[in-house]
Amino acid sequence: MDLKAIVLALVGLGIAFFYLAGDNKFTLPDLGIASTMGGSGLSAEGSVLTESGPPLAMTQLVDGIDAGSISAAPGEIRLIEAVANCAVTRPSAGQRIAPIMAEPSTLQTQIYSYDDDEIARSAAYAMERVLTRGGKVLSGLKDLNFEVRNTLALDLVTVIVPPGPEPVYLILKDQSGGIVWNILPMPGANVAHVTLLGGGYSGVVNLPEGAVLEVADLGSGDCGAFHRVIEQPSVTEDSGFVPSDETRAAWAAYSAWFADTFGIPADTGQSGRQRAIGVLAGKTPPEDAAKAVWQGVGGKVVLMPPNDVIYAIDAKQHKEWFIAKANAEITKAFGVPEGSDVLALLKPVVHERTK
Amino acid sequence: MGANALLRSLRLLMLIPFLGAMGYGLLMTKFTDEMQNGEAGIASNIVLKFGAAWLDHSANKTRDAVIDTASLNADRVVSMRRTLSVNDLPGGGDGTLFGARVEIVGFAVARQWAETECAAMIESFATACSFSTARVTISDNGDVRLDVDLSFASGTPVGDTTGIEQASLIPQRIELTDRRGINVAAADIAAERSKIYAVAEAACATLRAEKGNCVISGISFDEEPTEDGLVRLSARGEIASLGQAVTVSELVDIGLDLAAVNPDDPEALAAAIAAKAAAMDLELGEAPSGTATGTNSLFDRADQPGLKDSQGGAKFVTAP
Repeated sequence: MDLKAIVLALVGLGIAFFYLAGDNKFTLPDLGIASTMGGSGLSAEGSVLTESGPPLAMTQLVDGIDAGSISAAPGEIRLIEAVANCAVTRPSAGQRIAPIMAEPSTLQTQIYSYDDDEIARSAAYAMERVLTRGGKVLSGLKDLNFEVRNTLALDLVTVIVPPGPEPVYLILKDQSGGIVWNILPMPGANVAHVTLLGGGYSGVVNLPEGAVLEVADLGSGDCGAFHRVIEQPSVTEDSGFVPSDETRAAWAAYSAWFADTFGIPADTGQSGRQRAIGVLAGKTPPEDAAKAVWQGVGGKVVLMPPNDVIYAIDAKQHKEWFIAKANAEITKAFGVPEGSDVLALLKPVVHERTK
Repeated sequence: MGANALLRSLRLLMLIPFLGAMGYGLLMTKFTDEMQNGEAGIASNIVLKFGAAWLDHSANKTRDAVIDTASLNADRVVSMRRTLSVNDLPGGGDGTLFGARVEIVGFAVARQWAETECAAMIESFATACSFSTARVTISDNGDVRLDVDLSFASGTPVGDTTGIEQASLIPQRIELTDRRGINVAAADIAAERSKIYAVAEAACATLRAEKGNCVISGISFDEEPTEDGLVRLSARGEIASLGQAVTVSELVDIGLDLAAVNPDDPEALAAAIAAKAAAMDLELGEAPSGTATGTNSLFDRADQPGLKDSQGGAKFVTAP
């Protein structure tokens, strides 16, 4: 230990002492965090991705943005069946096809989705946590404390459709689900058809009037040889990933289906692969074009494919449902009726010799 | 004024963790320096003494828990391991059991198994039994391994425990079945276990007759299915008696460089003790005759020939 370290330590201690004993209030320095967190939250530059050219601010394209309407509870979750065998309606002549690929944004909604496996994982983890720690811990247990993840909330990604003469055929693709697609046509835009390539847990809100929504459930296995393959070789190979022969075959099957169904290569429309709160589905409109009118999630009908997914429309409901279902997984494993006291099943019983 | 002074005093209280952390940092920095330079200074002494005292305290706590045979605790357990295929689990045959549900069902089976086995144990050698812990491990080939620990109380008197405060537990391992295990039908496992408990009790009785006291500190069972539909059951036990063992503090006192020895490596530790003994002009003696097939504790200090110094100091015995 050298003298310098001791002196530095003492100086640090002195500063801490002076600060704590003084009249300064214990506040964090202002780094401007509060100002960037405030407001609509949608005003950050570069938040809407475009086909070409620089990203645009959402406010350049949309009027009346209300951040509160994103985290407000939707009016209804309406389940829509996927089209059998992925036989979705093909784009017709004269329609402009706009394929969009996106990842979840940072705008969390109050729509939570999870499947049975997610619940089972949480239940298994909760059991492991208490059963491996011993009888003493178990005896004093008041609750199983299931891990209910907030990350299961879906994120909002807004698709802004620029004006144009042709009816638009939107193809919405995502990497891993977890997106609520919010479709906002600008005045003069005509959205005729929306095809959601589902299988993950994604849905659509604010489907424009007159537009048809269809879901191709890529995860169902009914669509052919591929099983939820949206990422393409041309993309992944660039990143050094070496796909297996099986994966290549699935890609080939998916690419063939995509090209046959939509008449365009499967890897077009990748502009939204970055995280973004919005994607422009077409060419950048002139600056004086009338803006789209903002619509959020609050009070709206959200269309979701059913799969095996459970949807909750607020955090409290999400937690209650999740815990009830996790408890049900455990009671089922013990072969006792649902609703039985799970803690009583796990807590140790003392067996004593009576004779 | 008074409130202000109180507030300032409270702020000063916040310094305690700062000072504690700083002191700890200084001590550990000095300790690291000393270790790197190979010199035993003040910091090394403090850290080693503190660590040794903690280890001794921990060993004493374990000793008391094991010897207190009327209580149920995690230091005296019957450990059971059973390996199953997923198909052997409830619902495993219909193909609906996969992913995390295998683990959930595994835990449920383990938990229920614990209750069944506890009921059997109190019909055999235990006076009380309770579930302690359970683990579920899914192997690469899909097999499910269940590990269950049961705390038990025993009605058999330990024997003479006079001077327990100065004594240490000297454990001995005993093989309760053939090392490779015995093949039994699943229906006969409970009966086999009862026999094994009796063997463990007999071994402990022998040790008690020799040393004055003995306790069964643990029994472990391992069940694996065989290709011919039987179960290979193997069992080991650990019985322990109170004796005079060298404490870690004593090893530090005689200058054993614990930092240079892996305490989990008995051979290396024995070699270090032997080297230290030679350096201190101590004689390394023979181990006393053990019981059953077990081995004596590495630090078993006996009244029989042992590590003797020429001045008649402490006697140490090491045994392989």
